Amino acid sequence: MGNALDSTLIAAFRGSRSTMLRGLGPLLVLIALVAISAIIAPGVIEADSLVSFLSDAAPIIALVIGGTLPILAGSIDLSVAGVASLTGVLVVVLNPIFGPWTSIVVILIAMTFGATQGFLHSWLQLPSFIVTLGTLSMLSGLALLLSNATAEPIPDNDLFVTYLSDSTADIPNTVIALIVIIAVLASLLRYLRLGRDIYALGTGERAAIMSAVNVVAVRTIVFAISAGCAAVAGLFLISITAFSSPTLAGNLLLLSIVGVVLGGTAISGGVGGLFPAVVGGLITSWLRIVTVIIGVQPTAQNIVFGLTALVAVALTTDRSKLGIIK
Amino acid sequence: MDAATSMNSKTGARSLTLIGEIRSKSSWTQFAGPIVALVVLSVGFQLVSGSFFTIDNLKSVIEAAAVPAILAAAISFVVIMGSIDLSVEGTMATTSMIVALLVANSVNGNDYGMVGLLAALATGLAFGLFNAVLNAVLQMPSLIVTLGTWFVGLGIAAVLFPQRVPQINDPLILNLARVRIFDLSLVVYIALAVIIISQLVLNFTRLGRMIYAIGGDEGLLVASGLRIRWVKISAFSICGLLAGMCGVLLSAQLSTGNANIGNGLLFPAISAAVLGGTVLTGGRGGAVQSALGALLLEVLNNGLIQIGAGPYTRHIISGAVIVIAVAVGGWHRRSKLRVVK
Repeated sequence: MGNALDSTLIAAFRGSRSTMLRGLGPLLVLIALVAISAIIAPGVIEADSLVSFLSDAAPIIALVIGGTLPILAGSIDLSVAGVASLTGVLVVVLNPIFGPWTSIVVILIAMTFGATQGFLHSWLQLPSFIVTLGTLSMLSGLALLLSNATAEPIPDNDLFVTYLSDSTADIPNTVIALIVIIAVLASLLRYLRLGRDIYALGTGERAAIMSAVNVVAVRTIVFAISAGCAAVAGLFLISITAFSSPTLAGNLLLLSIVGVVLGGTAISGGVGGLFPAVVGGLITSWLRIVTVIIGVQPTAQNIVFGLTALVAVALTTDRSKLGIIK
Repeated sequence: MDAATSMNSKTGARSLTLIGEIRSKSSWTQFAGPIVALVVLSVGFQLVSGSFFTIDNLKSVIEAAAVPAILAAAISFVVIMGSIDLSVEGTMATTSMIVALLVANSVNGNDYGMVGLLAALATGLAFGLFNAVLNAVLQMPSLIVTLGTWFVGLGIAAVLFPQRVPQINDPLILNLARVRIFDLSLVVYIALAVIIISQLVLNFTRLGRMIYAIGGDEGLLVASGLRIRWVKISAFSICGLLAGMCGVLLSAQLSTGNANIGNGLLFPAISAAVLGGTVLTGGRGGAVQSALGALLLEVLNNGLIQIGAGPYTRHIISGAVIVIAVAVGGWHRRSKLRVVK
């Protein structure tokens, strides 16, 4: 019994080491995509368009990073788009109370919400998709209720949003904020026990539980981070549009999941990481540009991204690991 | 040899308990929970608002619950297996556009009547079949497969959408919502028929028993060498077909084709199934229970409107209700080593 557990854990760590190799495939796809679109429309790789591409891609990448962590731990968070939309509304609604610090307070509220969600999912042993689908419905209702279903301008005294809408040395501040977040989370995953625990949960949950991994705590933290990233993505969005709308991030749920699987993170958990998440987010954002270049109607984007997700999952699902496919 | 015999007897014992469990589930006591909840809620709303038990209000509850009840019954086929189908909103969007554009309408000259109706149902079936093939043959988790087809369906509907909203002029479709027997529309009778037939299929056919068995212990079935692929394919296809039917019926009620017709119907359908006692981990529940769950949600909606809650508050309350319902229903199954994804 002990040996069996050991070998599962060894396999788990071997799995996390091979993620770098898995990350190379998507990276090649990204390079090929950029090269092809540069041949068709050379304008896309000029400095100006790359900068605007990055600020356009930042919210998606933040959502993908947020969505990656629960998937690594074997769960899924479908509420990220709801959190991002509600964030925009809250920044407006709470501004009279918290003034310039509103956006920071909103991120903390989101993280508390995410922690509650993760705790409920794990402690009550409810499937994560049903909890987060339920909260998605609640969050979108709440966003409509608080905003009276109208778009509002963002107050101009909010410190963090004002910082995000600016740029430093021609680089949008959203990109800088994103890099800081990635660096913090990457070191968290690399150097803390939490990171190892997340991979262990996704690879073999029973083995992880028997090795004294505190499942409830890990899931709570993971969902808190996920909601925090989603809130930051919402702030990125409103810093670009300067308006908050209750349905701001409505169509980003699919894109965030597509980004996760395109980066090579396995939907079954345990395989993937932050680097694949960033690559996946970049591919997703670039695919949006490619669909415009090759003249796909905007209405058909859902078809393209839905099918892309299916193909990516078909290619990355490790069928030997999943005993029974539900 | 000894080991093999003990293996066999163990497998045999597990099969026996499994069969016993299935048999105990077909008793009538399982309907008690949802029915008691229905009565309590109705009486409660009657006491608060004083206008719940009027003939007109009860009729409007039944009319409003008809399509969600079909959808809840449809999703039960998949949920009882322990899988999930998130694609129903996309399926409904596409079938609504297809039926609206193929029968007599205000946008193009098509007038295929019955053929248009059948084409829409076939599209629903095709969606279900597509999900099934990806899940059962290509071995991809149903959660992510149906999440993908959900958006593919929405995309197809958006592409099909013409410049103007297509008004349906075909009496064949419109009569589904207009012809009334005992002052209830045909949609209600169709819903009743679909729910009863679904329950009969689940209870009395080999397919139905296999659906329960897959939800109960799929590993055991695989180990016994039973072919379960066709069961999964059939279950997803039935779900797709019925979702397509919901798209057609909703279009008939609105008398237009609408690419957003299914918006906000997926979650209530899953909630209804769970409220009715169809467990998300599979193996338990049924079409009638899920339909009762849909009726329960509709009573809740109706009562909340009567006591003055706005439409957005209902989103929030029904979201909370479902999480609580799943939590309470699954409480006794909690254990230290249980793995829940």
